[in-house]
Amino acid sequence: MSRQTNGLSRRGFLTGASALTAAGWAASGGLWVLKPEWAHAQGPIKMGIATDITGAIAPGGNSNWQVAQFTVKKINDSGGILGRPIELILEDTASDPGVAVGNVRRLIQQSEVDVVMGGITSAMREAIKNPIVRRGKTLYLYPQLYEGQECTPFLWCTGPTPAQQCADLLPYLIKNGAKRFAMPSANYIWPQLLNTWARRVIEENGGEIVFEEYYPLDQLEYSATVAKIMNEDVDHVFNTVIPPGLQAFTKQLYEAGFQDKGGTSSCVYFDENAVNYVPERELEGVYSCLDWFHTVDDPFSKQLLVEYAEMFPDTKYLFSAGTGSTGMYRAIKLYEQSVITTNGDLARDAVAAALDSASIPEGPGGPAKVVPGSGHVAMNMYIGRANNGVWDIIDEAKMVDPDECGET
Amino acid sequence: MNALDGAARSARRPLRVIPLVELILLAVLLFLPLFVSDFHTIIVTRMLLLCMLAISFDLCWGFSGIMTFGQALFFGMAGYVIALLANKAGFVQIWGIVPIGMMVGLVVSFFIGWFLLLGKRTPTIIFVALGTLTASYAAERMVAGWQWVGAGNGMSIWDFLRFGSFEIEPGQLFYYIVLGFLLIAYLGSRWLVRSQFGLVLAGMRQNEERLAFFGYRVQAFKALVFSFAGMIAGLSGSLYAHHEGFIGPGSMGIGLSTFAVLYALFGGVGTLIGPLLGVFAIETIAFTLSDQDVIKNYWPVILGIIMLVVVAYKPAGLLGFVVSERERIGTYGLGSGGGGKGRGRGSA
Amino acid sequence: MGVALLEVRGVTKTFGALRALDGVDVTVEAGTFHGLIGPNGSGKSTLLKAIAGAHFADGGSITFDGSEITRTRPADRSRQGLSLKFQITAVLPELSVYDNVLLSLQAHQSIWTLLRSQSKHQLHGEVMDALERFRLADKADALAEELSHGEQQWLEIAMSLTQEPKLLLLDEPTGGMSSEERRVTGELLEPIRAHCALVIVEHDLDFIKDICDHLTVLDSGKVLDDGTVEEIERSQKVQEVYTTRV
Repeated sequence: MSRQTNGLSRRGFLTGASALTAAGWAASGGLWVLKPEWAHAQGPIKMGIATDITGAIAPGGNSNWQVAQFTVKKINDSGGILGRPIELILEDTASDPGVAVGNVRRLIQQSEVDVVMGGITSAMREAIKNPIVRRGKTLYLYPQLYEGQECTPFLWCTGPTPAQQCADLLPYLIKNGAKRFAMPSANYIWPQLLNTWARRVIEENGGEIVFEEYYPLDQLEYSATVAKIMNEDVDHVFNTVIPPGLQAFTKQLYEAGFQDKGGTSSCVYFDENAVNYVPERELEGVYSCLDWFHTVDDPFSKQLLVEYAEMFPDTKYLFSAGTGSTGMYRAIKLYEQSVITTNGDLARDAVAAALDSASIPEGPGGPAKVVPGSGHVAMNMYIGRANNGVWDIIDEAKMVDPDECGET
Repeated sequence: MNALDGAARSARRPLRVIPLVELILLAVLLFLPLFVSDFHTIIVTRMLLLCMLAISFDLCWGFSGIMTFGQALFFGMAGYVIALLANKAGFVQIWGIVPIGMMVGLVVSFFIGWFLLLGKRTPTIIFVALGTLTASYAAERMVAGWQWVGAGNGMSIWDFLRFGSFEIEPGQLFYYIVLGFLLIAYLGSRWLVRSQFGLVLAGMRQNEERLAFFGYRVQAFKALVFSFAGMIAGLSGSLYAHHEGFIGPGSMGIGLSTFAVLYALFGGVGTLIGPLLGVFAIETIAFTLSDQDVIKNYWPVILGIIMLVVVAYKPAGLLGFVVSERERIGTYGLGSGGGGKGRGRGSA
Repeated sequence: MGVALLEVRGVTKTFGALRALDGVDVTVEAGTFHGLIGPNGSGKSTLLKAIAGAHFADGGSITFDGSEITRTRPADRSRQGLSLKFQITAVLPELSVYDNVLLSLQAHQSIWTLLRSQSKHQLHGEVMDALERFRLADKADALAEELSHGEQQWLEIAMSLTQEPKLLLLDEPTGGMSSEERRVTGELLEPIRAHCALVIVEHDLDFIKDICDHLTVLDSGKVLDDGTVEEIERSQKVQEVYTTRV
C-alpha cells in the first residue's frame, strides 16, 4: 500500500475512483482490491468491505472506506496479523439494498473473503446480512450506530446501540430543564426502535413526549411539524430525521425561531460531518451522543487523528463516530485480536468464538470490549454540544453497556 | 414451372427464424451452468426470473393491446406474500410457494383487470396504462410505509427455499428449477397465443371494435390474458424473493414495471422470445457497464441511450434484425395447404 | 313473402344540433334485398349504424327477428343473426386472408373451445368454401393488406356472411371498385338471397337497381319514399329531390 503523497493534496479533493487509483488500488471486475506489499506462504487474510461509495450514503461510506484502509495499513505496517498481511477488497453497495445483494454475493463468491465489514443504514444491513452470514457463511461486522435487536449469530455490531445513546444524554437533558420532548422521525426502523428506548428513559426520568411522528424518507415539507413544535411548548426536539429530509427540517425549524425561543434539540448521529449537512447557525447548541468526538481529550485518539490526516490530507471524509468509521476501526481491531487469539485460524467458528470475548485497550474514544453472548460492544459514550461548528464535550460515561440480545 | 411459380412457392414458405432462435437460446441456457462459476449462474438465474416478468408484459401488450405499467405489482405482491410466509410462518416449501405465488398474481391481476378492463365502455389504452401505473405506484408507497412488512427496509428472507427438509440454495439447482418454470411459462404462453384464442387476440390488437361486431366479447378475452399474465408474474416474484433472499418496495414499484416494458420493447414485442432476448441484452449490458468505474455514475444514461437508439431505429426490437415481419405475424389456421395434418405456425 | 325481419319504427338520432334521423320507418322482409338511397347527408349511414349497433338510436324502436334490439350491444346483435360490413374496410390487415375468415367463422365458439383449438380442422372446409365463393382461394395465405381494394371488400363480405346471418347490412360495398369489380360483387351477392336478407346503402344507383327488390329513399333524416324499384323509378317525389339537389 503506497502512502498518500503530496501529489494528492495538490490535486485537491479527489473522490471515488480516481482517489482509489492514486492510492494504489487496482480495479478488478468491479471490485477494488488493495493488495498487501508482501506475500505470505498462506496468502493474505482477505477482508471484504461492503459500503456505500456512491449514492445518498456516500459521505459515510467513503469515511468507512478510508478508515478501513488506514486501520489495515497500520496493522500491515506492524507486520500484519501474526505475520500475515491483510488484503482489502472493497465492494460498493451503492446505497441501494437491492443492488447490494448482488454485489455482496460477488465479494463472498468470487473474492472469497474471510470476513466482511460494512453496511451503514439498517436497510442495507438487513439486505446484505443474508448473503454474507447465511448464504455466504461468513463473519459479518456491522460498524454503525443503529436501533439494536440484531441478534443474528456470526454478526457483530461494533457501533453504539440505543441504550448506549440514550442512557446518559436524556437524563442529562431532563436534569437541565427539558420536560416536553418532540420526536420527529424518519419512517424506518432505526428511529422507531430508538424512540422506544428514548421514550422509556424520558418517562422514567420525569419527562413527557408531546408527539412522536414518522415521515417518509423523501419528505421535504415539514411546516406542519414545525408548527406543532412551536405551538405546543416543546422544550427539546429529539430529532431522528435523516437526509434528504434532514436539511429541510432543520432549516424550517431554525427559520421558525425555535432556537431563539430557547428550544434545544439533539440528533444522535451528528458528528464532525454535521457541518456538511446543516449550516452552522442551525447546528448551534444542538446535542449529540456518540462514542467519540475529535474534541475528546484522549491522547491515543488524538494521535489517530494526526496519523489519519497524514494518510488522507485535506480529505472531506472524516474519521468520525456518526459515519460508523469508529465502529469500522473497532471491528478491524477486534478481528485482529480474535485472529491472534485463534493463533491464525481463520475458520469462521474459531474466530467467532474468539470474538465473543475480544477487547481492545484503546481506540477512538477509548477502549472497547465485546459483551460475551450479545454480539455487541461496550464502549465509552460522550455527550457533545455544537459550539461554532465544534463539539464541546459536556459529559462522558465509561464503558456503557449495549444492553442487547438477552444479556444484561 | 416458371419463375413466378417458384417465387410464389417460396413466398408461401419463408425461412422460419424464430424456432431457430428459440432452440439456440434453450441450448445455451441448458448448458450454461456447466461452464460458468456459481456466481455467474446466480446472476443468470436472476435474469431468468426477470424473463418471466417480461413475458408477462408481452402477453398483455404484444398480444392483446393492453399497455400495462404494473406487472411488477403482481411480481412484488407475490414476493411479499412469500416473504411473510417465510418470516412469520416459517413456511418455505417450494411445492407451496410456487402455487401460492401464482395464486397471488392471478387474484390481484384479476381484480385489477376487472376494475380496469371490464365495464360499460371500452377503456382506452391510456386509461389502462395509467391505471396499472397508479396501482403499482400506490402499492410501492403502501409497503414503504408499513412497518409489518419492513417498510422502506423491505424484508430479508432468512431461511432457504426447501423441498421437504432439503434446502435449495441459489446455485445450479435453483437455476435449473427456475429454467424449468420459465420453460413451462413460455410454452404455456406460446400455446395460448398460437391457438384459435390467440387468433382472436391478434385480431383484437389490430381492430378491437371490429371483433365486437363478430360477436366476440373482447373484454372477457382481455381479462383472461391479463390474469394469466399476472399469474406468471406472481410465479416469478415468489421465486425471486427466495433467490435474492430479499424483497423491498422497489420490487413492486413503477421502476421495475417500466423495466418489464423496456425488456419487451427492446427485444421485440409480440413474439415471446423477444422479451427474453431483451432481458439478457439489457441485464448483461447493465452488469458490464456498472463495473466500468469510469462510467460508474453514468451507466444508466448510456443504457438508456442504447435502448432508445434500438427502439427508434428498429421498432420491432432486437428480434427485428433477424425475423421478418411476416414471420412475426404468423398464421393461426391451417392455411390453404391444410386439410391434411396441419399445425398453426406462428410468431410466438 | 311478408315476414318482417327488421322493423324500424320512428327512429331518431341527433348529433348536437344536427337531427340526422327524424322519425324513420323502414320494414325489411326476409329474403329481400332492400336498398337505402338518398342524397349525401340524408342519414343513410346513420340509420345503418343504428341498426348495426355502432351507435344507439335516441328514440324510436328497432326490432329484429321479433326481438327489440334498439339498445343491444353489437356483439349480441351479431349473435342474434345481424351482421355488418363497414363502409371502410375493416379486415384485419396483419392477418392472412385465411385467418381473417377463420376469425369470423369461429366467433361464436366458447373461449375454452378456442383455447384448445378444437375447431381448426372442422372449419377448414368452410373457410375454403367461403374463399372460393368470393374468388379469394388463391390468395388465402396472403396478408389481407396485400389485397386490392375490391378484393378486400369481397373478403369483408365473405367474413360478414360466414356467421350465417339472417340479415346482412352493407355500407357502400362497391365504394372504389371498377365497373368489372362491381359486376362481380353483384354476382357474389345474389346467391345469398335464399337464406339472408340484405340492407344495402349505396351511391351507385345502377348497382342498387340491379340487385335490390325494394328501396327506401331518405332525405334529410326522413323517409321520402318507399317501394319496389319500379315504383321508386317512377316516383315524382324522388325525381324532384334527385334533380334539384346535386
